[in-house]
Amino acid sequence: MLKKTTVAIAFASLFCMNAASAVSLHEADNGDYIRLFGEVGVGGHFGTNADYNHDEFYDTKGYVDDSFATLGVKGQNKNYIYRLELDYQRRNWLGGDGEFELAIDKMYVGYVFDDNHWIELGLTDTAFDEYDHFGDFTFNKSVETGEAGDQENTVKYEAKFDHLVYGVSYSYEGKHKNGSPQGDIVNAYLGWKSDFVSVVAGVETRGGSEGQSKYGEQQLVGLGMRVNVTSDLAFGFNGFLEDEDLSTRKSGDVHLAYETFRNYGLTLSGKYDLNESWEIIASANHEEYEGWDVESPNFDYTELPAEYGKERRWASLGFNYRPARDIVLSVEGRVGEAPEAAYAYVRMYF
Amino acid sequence: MKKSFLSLAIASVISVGANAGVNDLLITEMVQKNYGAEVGSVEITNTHATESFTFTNDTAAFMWGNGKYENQMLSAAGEPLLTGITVEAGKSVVVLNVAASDEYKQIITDNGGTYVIGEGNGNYSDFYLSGNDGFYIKNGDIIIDRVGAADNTSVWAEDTTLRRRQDSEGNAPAPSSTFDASQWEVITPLDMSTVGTPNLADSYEPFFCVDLTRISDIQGTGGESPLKGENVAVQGVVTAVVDIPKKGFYLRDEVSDGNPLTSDGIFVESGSADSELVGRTVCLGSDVAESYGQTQLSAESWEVTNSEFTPTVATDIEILDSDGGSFETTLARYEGMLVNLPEDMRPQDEGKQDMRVSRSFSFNYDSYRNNMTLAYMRPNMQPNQLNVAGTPESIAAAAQNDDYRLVIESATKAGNDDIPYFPNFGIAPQDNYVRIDDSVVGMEGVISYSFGDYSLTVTNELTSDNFIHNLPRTDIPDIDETTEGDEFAIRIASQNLFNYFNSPFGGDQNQFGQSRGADTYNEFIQQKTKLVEALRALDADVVGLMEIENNGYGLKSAIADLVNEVNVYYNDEYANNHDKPYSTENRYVFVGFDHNGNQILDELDALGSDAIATGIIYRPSKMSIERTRVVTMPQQKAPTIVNDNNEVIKDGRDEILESGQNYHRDALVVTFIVNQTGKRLTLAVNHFKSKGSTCWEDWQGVEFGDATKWEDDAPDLDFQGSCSEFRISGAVHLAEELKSVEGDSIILGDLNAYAQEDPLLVLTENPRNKTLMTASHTFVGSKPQFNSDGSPVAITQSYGYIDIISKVFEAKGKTPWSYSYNDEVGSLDHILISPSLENRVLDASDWHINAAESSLYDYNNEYKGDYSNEYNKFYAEDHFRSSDHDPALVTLSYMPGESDSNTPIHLTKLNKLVKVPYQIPEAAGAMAGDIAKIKLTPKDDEAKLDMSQLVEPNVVLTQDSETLVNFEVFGAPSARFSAKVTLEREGKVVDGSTVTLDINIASRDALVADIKEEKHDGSGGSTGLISLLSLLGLATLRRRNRK
Repeated sequence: MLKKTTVAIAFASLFCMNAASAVSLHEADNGDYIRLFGEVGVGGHFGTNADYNHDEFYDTKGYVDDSFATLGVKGQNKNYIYRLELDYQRRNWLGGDGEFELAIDKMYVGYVFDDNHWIELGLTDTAFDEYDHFGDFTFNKSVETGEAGDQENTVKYEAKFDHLVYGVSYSYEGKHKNGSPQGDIVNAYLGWKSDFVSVVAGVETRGGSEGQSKYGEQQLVGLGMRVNVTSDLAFGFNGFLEDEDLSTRKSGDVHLAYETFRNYGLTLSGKYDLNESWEIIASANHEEYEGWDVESPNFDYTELPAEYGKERRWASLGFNYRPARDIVLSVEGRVGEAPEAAYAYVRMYF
Repeated sequence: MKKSFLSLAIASVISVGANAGVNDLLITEMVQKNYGAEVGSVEITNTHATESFTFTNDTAAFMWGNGKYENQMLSAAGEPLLTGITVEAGKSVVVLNVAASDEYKQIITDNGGTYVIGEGNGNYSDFYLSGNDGFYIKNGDIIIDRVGAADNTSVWAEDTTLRRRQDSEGNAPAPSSTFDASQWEVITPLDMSTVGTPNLADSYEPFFCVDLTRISDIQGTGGESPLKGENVAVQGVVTAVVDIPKKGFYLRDEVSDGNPLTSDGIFVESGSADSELVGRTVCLGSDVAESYGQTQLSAESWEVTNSEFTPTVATDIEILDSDGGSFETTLARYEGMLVNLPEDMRPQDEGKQDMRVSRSFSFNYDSYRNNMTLAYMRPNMQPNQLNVAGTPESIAAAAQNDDYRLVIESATKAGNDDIPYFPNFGIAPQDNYVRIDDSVVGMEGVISYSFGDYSLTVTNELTSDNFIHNLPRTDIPDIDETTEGDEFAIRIASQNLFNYFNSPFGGDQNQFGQSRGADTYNEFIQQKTKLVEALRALDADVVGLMEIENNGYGLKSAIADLVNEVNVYYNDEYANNHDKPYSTENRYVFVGFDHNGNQILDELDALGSDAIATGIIYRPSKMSIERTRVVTMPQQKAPTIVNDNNEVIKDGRDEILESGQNYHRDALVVTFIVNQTGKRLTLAVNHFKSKGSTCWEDWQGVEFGDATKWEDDAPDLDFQGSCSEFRISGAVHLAEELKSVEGDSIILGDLNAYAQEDPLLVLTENPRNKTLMTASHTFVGSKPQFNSDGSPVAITQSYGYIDIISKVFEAKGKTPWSYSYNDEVGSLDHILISPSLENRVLDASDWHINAAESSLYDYNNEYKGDYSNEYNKFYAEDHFRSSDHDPALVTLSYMPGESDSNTPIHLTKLNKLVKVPYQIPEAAGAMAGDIAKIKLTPKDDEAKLDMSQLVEPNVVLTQDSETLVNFEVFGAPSARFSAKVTLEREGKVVDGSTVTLDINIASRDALVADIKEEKHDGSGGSTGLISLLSLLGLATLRRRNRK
């Protein structure tokens, strides 16, 4: 499973139409534009822990490098938009090899109906992917919501108003990030945002691979919430509840006997802005996968039970330092049943 | 009789001579016990008044091992045991076994004696008295003194102290090279209190044949003799002289008292009697003794008052009302008498109450000799076969078995290959077999009692006419498979293969380094021949196998080896002989399991952790595999059994008493489609943990204290043997795994549980609501089976399977059994069907080709009378005793064309032909002359099938009301079709006759085992935007498919 690195909420804005930073290659009076954007980030995970590694890291060792780069171009011509984005990333997930790979992350064209409505077609984020970490202030990933992420053959409609946001996407013959078929995927979000409190709910369902991979049907709900208590202090909540059908055995290449596994997780996080440049971020996390539960009926008894049991809990404390616009230095330490002890990263983007 | 405590020192004052010589040595006491070598001891006294005696190599101690082998006693260094030992005048030295206790040694030294340990240095040179041994002192080649008769090989000193008597003048007697029992006082049970003291018993009082007591008065009407302990003079006719159970002879009153409640006979224990004595009238004196419940006399000398032969007519055993239904009470009335086993022991009742063979001729580990056991009216049924284990009924059944038992002994010890009273058995075994449940009629012998059981020691010579086979040998199983109308039968069997191992003989190695089967190539071929004969005779369409070497599924696996040999017989390829016994249609293939998932069936696909596994073979002409799987069965990972000091306890063989690690064999679960139907039939073949070795539960509640060695068996109060709880765990897991199976299912195999034992109650029904607790600490792989803390659970549900053999037999008034253990029989091998199958059952049975037979008929060459183990006169190329378990069978009926819902009819091709069954609807009113037509349409348009050769025949009905037409379709490619079948009459389609069949045309499963890849089972979802959106619209998460 590819855990996409560092799709932090701060960074999410980059995908939106009103990009904060980019190199403008062309700007027209009617609003048409061509922009080059990208990012270089260097850093990674320290002290990864075998006992708590579910599928986060390909290896458990002192330092797992997670450096990452993105280069993309996007533009608008009349009401048509397009975007091409390349990622250079580490194959750090369990079963990977830790080496770099280059991947096309997005490749879509779209049509903007007006300032509030638009569609995208092609390889793009599914709708829910845009808000799956909403309410999680940590720069590093915390609890992962298992939504579809980026998908090919996707049509997505989104709308954004002053307070209301919503979107829905349909992906034909979706795939897991590891390439395994998952069947058609539909997901959606609906949110309401204000200066004080913002809430986004997401749902997803997928049709299943019909025996071609271990992924069967799935249904997922997620909820993210932010509360800005003061201009400096914010609290967030992010959680998900998922019923995922996974095959429990194989005959040759055919996956069989799909059983439903219930998974859920939640993150409580807080962010305090010390000043213009410094943020302090804390989180508490809980996640529970039925597949980890040795007493669940479908536990894969050919494996030993996980050290952490049927649930993982951990907390984190981190700092973001922004010496200038478009530069972030992040440090985060974790305690509890976390697969790593610390995280440090420098990221610059344009 | 009072013991004399005159000291030898006084007695020897009269003895003459200054220097102690070998003739001053006297064996003065001997202690000997059967299975009690540690107390075995011989006391040797120097009777010289003043001089000590020092042993040299000239004077040596010998054991008369088993009453026939001369074994010189040596020290550990290999020197004569006594050499160099000095015995002071009037003192004793005691020879002890190496395991003699410190307490015993203390007694000897406290008594003023010394001892020497007969350690030996191999080759039977250690001192080891075990009930049937003698001892003597030799000077050069001359025996100086001995204890134990030179010709007595019986267990003559079961639990005995022999103390030397004074001579008639009150002195120490002279040593004697012959054993005169009258010179010895017999004390039983044994007494060790004076060992080491050179004391002598009172002198022998000669007997005078006066003041005679009748035997019937000695026996009395109760269990114990009213004259116990009294010295009596008895005169009677000798009816038998026997070595077994004890050496001696039987005496009867010259004239019976006519009272059926008192026995007219009595046993006289004697090492001195020989068969010449039979028929003579003797007079003897003896104390009346009770020996382990038997009233008996003992005598080594007697007066023959009439040396003419007086015949004794054996008395028919007859059951009296006064016996109160207790067969032991009946036998007690005949204790010591010469009796006959009549055809009917209770003529006033209906039927014939006779004696039945309950254990065939075999080695008896209780008495440690070859013999046989009979039971009154029926073979002893294991108490839990018909009664729920642990219930009062089961306990009563066990008590009845004890009551009904009669052990049959020969007068002299039987060899491994002959029955002394039935010589034809050893001469022509195939014509003179003895089977369990044979009625034994006309057997004569004398009745004795010992250790809770009555025995009959046979005195007449028997022939096969005396053994009436109630369950005679048969060459095919007695099972009905007559079907109605157009239906056909499927025969299913379970067969234990008695540890069939081919790895030592060119087969693949197993991964456990064990071979439990044949020792030699000759034995292997014998084993294979018998099993192949049995499998062919079973003639089943699918057979579940147990106890086959776990060496995978390669070409040289045990199962491949066996199947290949079975198939040799089926060699007729002509289609018109398809239903003949030799037809290739009958060939089998084994089911291979790619257990390691490498897509190859080979020797690395061994299952589980045992050197034996289960297997399945089937006929591809009858069934096709849909799915194969191995159900990993729970294993116990419990704490090791330790004592109070946390030390691991070991058993008598120095093995860990109970490691806490216990296993079942993994279950093989195969789902077949019965050809010509769409009916699934799932077979789960099992071999549960045995009753023999223990599990953790069996030792709970046993107080070990600080013992590190524990030789007692684990308690077994409900007769379920060991590991009953663990078998419950296995049964629960298996049944749970089978819950998800679609269609009909059968659990078969050796469940190591009798029909009413706990695992069966779990799988079938638990009408008494017995509390059934699983084993503790059971895991399936790394997953706790029940609770993470290992605690057991109570199983409150039953899974509703039907023990079909028991049920069918109950209706026939019979009781099934498949296994013989000790002298009880019961069913360990079961066929449990899902209730959905019950209406299909034509018949069910076990087939007594193995359990009923003596183990002499098996493939082994050991213990068959030939010491080189090369010649086995009991072996025959037949199916009898091909295993130790009997096979079990069931027959089911199927109708061509029937199917489970949403399942196509599976039609297999033979020479490009398939038969498409058309069940003509009744509404169509089929008439002769109607034409049945068929049209095939492929279900998958994209498949681009080659239909160029397709022939869709019309079938003209030949008679009215036909119900089934088989279209012989030629050239249809393997694919799924929709077959539209209709009936036309005078060119028009008959109303109500049109049926659309969902058929799957396929090649037959190959005769070489193959890996069967399953089709998508529909559980992995289905693509489709509409259904997806509707799912999304549900908003709530789905109900979960928890089991």
